[in-house]
Amino acid sequence: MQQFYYDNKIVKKFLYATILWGVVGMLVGLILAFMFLFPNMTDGISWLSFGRLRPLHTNAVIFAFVGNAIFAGVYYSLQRLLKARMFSDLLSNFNFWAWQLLIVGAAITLPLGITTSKEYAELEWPFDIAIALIWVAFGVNMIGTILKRRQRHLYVAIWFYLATFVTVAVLHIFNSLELPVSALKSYSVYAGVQDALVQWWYGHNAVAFFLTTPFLGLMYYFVPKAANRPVYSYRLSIVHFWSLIFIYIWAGPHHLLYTALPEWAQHLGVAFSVMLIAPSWGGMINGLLTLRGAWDKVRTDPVLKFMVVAITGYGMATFEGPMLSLKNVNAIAHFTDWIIAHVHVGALAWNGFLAFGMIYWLIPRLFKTKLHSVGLANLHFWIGTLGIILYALPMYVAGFTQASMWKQFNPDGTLVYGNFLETVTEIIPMYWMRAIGGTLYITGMLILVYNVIITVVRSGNKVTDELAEAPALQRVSKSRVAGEGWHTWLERKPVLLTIYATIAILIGGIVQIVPTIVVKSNIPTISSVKPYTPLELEGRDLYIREGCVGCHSQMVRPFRSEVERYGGEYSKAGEFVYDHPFLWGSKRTGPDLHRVGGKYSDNWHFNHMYDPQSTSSGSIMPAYQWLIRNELDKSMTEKKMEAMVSLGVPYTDEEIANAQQAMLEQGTEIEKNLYADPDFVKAYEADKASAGEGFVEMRNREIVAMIAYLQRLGTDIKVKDMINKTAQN
Amino acid sequence: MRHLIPSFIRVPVVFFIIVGLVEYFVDSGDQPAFMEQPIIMLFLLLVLLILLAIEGIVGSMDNILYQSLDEEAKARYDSKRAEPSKLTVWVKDTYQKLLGSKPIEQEGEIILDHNYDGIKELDNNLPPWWLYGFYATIIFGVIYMVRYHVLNADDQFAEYEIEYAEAQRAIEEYKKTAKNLVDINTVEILTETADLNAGQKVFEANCVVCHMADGGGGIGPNLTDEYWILGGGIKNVFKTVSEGGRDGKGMVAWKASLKPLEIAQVSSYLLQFQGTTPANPKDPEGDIWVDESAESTDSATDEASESEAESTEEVAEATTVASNN
Repeated sequence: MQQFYYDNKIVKKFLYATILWGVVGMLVGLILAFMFLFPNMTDGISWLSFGRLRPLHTNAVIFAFVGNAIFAGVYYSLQRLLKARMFSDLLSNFNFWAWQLLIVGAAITLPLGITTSKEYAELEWPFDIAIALIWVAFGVNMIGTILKRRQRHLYVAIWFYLATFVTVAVLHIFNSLELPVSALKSYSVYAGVQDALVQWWYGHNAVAFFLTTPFLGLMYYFVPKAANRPVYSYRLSIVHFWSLIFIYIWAGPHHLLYTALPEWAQHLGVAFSVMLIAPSWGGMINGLLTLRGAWDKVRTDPVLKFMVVAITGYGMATFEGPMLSLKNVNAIAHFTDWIIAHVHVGALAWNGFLAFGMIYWLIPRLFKTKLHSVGLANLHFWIGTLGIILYALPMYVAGFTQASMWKQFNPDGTLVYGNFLETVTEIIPMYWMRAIGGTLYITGMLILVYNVIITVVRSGNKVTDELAEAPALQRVSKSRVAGEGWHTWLERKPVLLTIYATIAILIGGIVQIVPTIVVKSNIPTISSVKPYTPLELEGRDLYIREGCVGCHSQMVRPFRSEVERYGGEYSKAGEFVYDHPFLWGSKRTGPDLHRVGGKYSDNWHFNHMYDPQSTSSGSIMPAYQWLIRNELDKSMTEKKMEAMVSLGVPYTDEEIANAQQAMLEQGTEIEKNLYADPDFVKAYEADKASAGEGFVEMRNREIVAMIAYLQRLGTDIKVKDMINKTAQN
Repeated sequence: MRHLIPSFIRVPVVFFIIVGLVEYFVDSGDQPAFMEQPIIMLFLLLVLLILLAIEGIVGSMDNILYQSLDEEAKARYDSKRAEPSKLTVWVKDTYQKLLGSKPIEQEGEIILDHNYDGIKELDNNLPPWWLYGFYATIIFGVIYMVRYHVLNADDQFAEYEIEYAEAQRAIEEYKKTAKNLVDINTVEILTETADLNAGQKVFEANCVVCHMADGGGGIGPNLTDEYWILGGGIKNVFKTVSEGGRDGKGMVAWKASLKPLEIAQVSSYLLQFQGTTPANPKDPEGDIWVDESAESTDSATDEASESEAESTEEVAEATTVASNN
C-alpha cells in the first residue's frame, strides 16, 4: 500500500474562481440584457458599450465561469479516479494563476476594443499564445497524472477529459492563426468564406469540447457519486463517447446555412448534426438512468435536483440543435433570438446547473462540514429554474415573431414590415421578460455565494490535502490478455486512447476545411471585387473594435425577403476574398449591413452614429459619439496594408506608399459631403472656432473612416452604383 | 379506464378539445372565435361548468354506491381497483422493452467489477429505441447527401429562383384584380383631406428627421423652394421617394417600407410645402423645375435630372413589382 495526498487546495482555488467569475459573467450578461431596453444607459462610455461588452460576457461565462468549473471538477475527480496526486503542484498552480491572469487580461482588453472579432476567440494574439501555453500545461499535468496512476483502467470521465484536451488544443491553434500587426492587433490568416468555415468549425466545437465533453466527464463522476448509484450502462458510455467526438466535429457548417459557404459543406453540416442526436442523448440517458432507484433522493437533495435539470437541459438543447440545423428551420431561426434562447438553455441549465450541483456537493466535503442551508440551496434551485424558463420562452417567441415579420410580404410584393425597426419594437416586451429571467438567475447565483460563504466561515476548517492509500500498479502484459475486451484493453493504454481520439476528431475538420481552402472552385472569384482603400480598411478595424458584428450581420441570404429588404443581390462568396477576418455575424439585433453601401447619405450615417434615435426613432442602437470626437490613428495603416499583402491582398507598393495621401483625400471628400447638412456646418464651425490650437479636422476623425467603410460595403458588385460612378466621372 | 386519468387532467383535456372544435367549425376570420363572438365565451363557460358538474355527480354517485355495498363487496371492489389495468401493464412492458434494461432488482447480474473511487458500472444493453434511432439518423444523413449530390436536388440558388418566379406570378395575378394601384405612370396628385392627412402621418414618421416638419430641410434638401435635385412634380417626387436619391449622397429608397399608395400620399403632402416659408430654410439645391406637362401631355416629364437613363417603364416596374435586379 502506498500513501499519498489528494491536492484539495487547488480544487478550492478553482471553485472560488468559478463562483467569482460566474457572478461577473452573469452580471455583464444582465447589463447587456438591460441595454436592449435602455440602449443609452452607458451613454458616452466607450468601454461599456454593447458591442464591446458582449464578447466580455461570452468569454467570461465560457472561459472564466465554465472554464474554472471544468478545472475544479477535473482536478478533484481526476486524482480520485486515478488514485494519484496531480502530477505537478507547480503546473497545477501555474494553470490556476495564469488562467486567472488571462481572464483579467481579457476583462481589460475586450472593453478597450482589442478584439479579433471572431466569436469566442476574440482575444488578441498574445492572449492566444498564453491560452495555448496554459492549456498545454494543463494537458501535461493531466497526462502526467495518468501515467503515474494507481488505477489500471481509465474511467469514462477521463476519456472525455482527454478528448477535451486534445480537441480544444487543435481548435484553438488552427482558428487563431493570425498575422500580428502590432502588439495588440492581428489579422486572421483566412479570408471570407474560409475564415467563416474555420471560425465555425472552432465556434461549434468550442461548444462541443469546452462546454459539453468536459461537463459530460464531470457528470460521469459527480452524478453517480451524489446519487450513490452505479452508472447505467458501460456499453452506452463507450458507444456514445466515440460517436460523439467523431460526429460533433463535422457539424460546424450548420452555423453557415444559406450563406456563401459551398453547399457540399453545408450539407455535411446538416447530415452530421442530425446524426448527432443519438450520441448526445446517449450521455443524457446514461446520466438520467443512473438515477434509477435514487429518485426519492432527488426530491430532497438540491445537488441531485440541479443535476437532473442540467442533464434534462442538455437533452433539450442537443435535440433542438439538430432541428435548428435543418435548412428550412435554420432559415427561420438563424440571426434571431431563437438562437439566443437555444444557447442559454445550454449555458444556464446544462453548464450553470451542473456547476452549481458540483459546488454544493464539493464545498461541504472540502471543508468537512455540512452545507449551511439546504433550504437556501433549494431556493436557489427553484429561482434559477424559473429564471431559465423566463429567459428562454420569451426569446423563442421573440425569435419566431421577428423571423416571421422579416419574411412577410404584401400581395403587391412589398414587405409588410419594410422598416426593420418595426420588427424590433414588436419584441421589446420579450426583452423585458428575458431581463427579468436573467435577474432571477443571477439572484439564485448570489444566494449560492451567500450560502457558500456562510458554510465556509461557520465550518472554521481549512481545506487540507486528503490522505489516501492504494497499491502501486503491477506491470501487466502490453497486449491483450485472455478474456480482455478490446475496449477494456484500450482503457489501460492512455496514450493509444488519446491517439485514437485525436484521429476521430481530426477527420471531420480535415474533410471540410482542406478542400475549401485548396480547391479554387469553391470560391468563384469576381473581378470587380477590389481591396478596401486605406481609409476603408481603417474603418473596418473600427467596426471590429466597436463590436458592430455582435448585432449586425453582413450576409444577405438568397431569400426573396432578404434580397428585397437589403437591396439588390444576395451575398456571394467572391465578395469576401479580402475580408481578414470575415464579419458575417451571427445575430441581427439590427439590420444586415452587407448592402448598406450607398444606401444612405454620409450625413445620415454621421447623425445616426451621433444619435441613432434621431434618424431611426425607437432604435435600440447605442450612440457612438466618441467616433465623432476621436482622431483616427493612421500610424499603423501602412503596416496593416503590408500585413494584408502577406495574406494575399493585392495592394501595390505604390498604394501603400500613398496610403496617407489617399486617406486624406477620401476623408476630405466625406467631410465635403457632410457639409450638405446646415446643422452639421453650424455645430462643426462653432466647434472649430472655440477649439483653437490642436483642432482635429473632421477628415481626420474616426467617424470618417467608419463612414468610408460602411459606404463601401457590398458595392463592388452593385450594378446601379457602377453606372452612377461612371456617370459622375 | 376512468380511474387511470385523474379528473384534473380529464376536465381540461375535454374542455380544450371542445374549444378546438368550436374554433374549427365557427368561421371567425383572423380572430379567435370567442373574441369575434362573445356569446361563444359564455357557451364555453357553460361547457366548463357542465363538465365540472358531471365530474361531481359521477364522483358522488360512485361514493354513494360504494357506501351501499356490504363489507365483503367493498373489499372485493377495492382489490379490483388496486389491480393495475391492462393499459398500465402494457405501457410499463413496452417501456421496459424499449429501454432494454435489467430491472433494478436484477442489477447484481450485470454489475461490472469496475470500481472507480467507489463508482460502479452496470452493463446494461444499449436501449433499443436509442440504437435504432441512431441508425435512423445515419440513414437520414446518407439519404440527405445522396439527394443533393447524387440526385442533384435544387440547391439554394435554384430554390431562390423558384421563390422569385412564384412570387412574380402571384403578384401579377394580384394586380389583375387589385384596385387602387398606383405606379409612376398612373400617379396623380391627391387632394382629398384623408389622403393628405395620411401623407402627413407618413411624413412625420419618416421624413422630418432630414427635411424638418415644415419642409425647411436639414440633411435633406429644402422642400419649400422651387429648386429640385431630382425634379419636382408628383411623378418625379413619387419616383425619388420610392427609388431613393443619388447613390451614397441622397435619400434611401422607401419602396421597401412604404406602400405605393403611401408614397403617393406623402408625395402629395410634401408638395404642399411649395411656396411656404419655413422657420429655418436651407439654401436651395438643384435646379429650378418647370412643369412641362402643363404644355404637353407627353410622358416626357418623367426624365430624371440625374444622368441615369433608365426608361420610365423599368422604373415603374421596379416601383410596383417586386424588383429582382
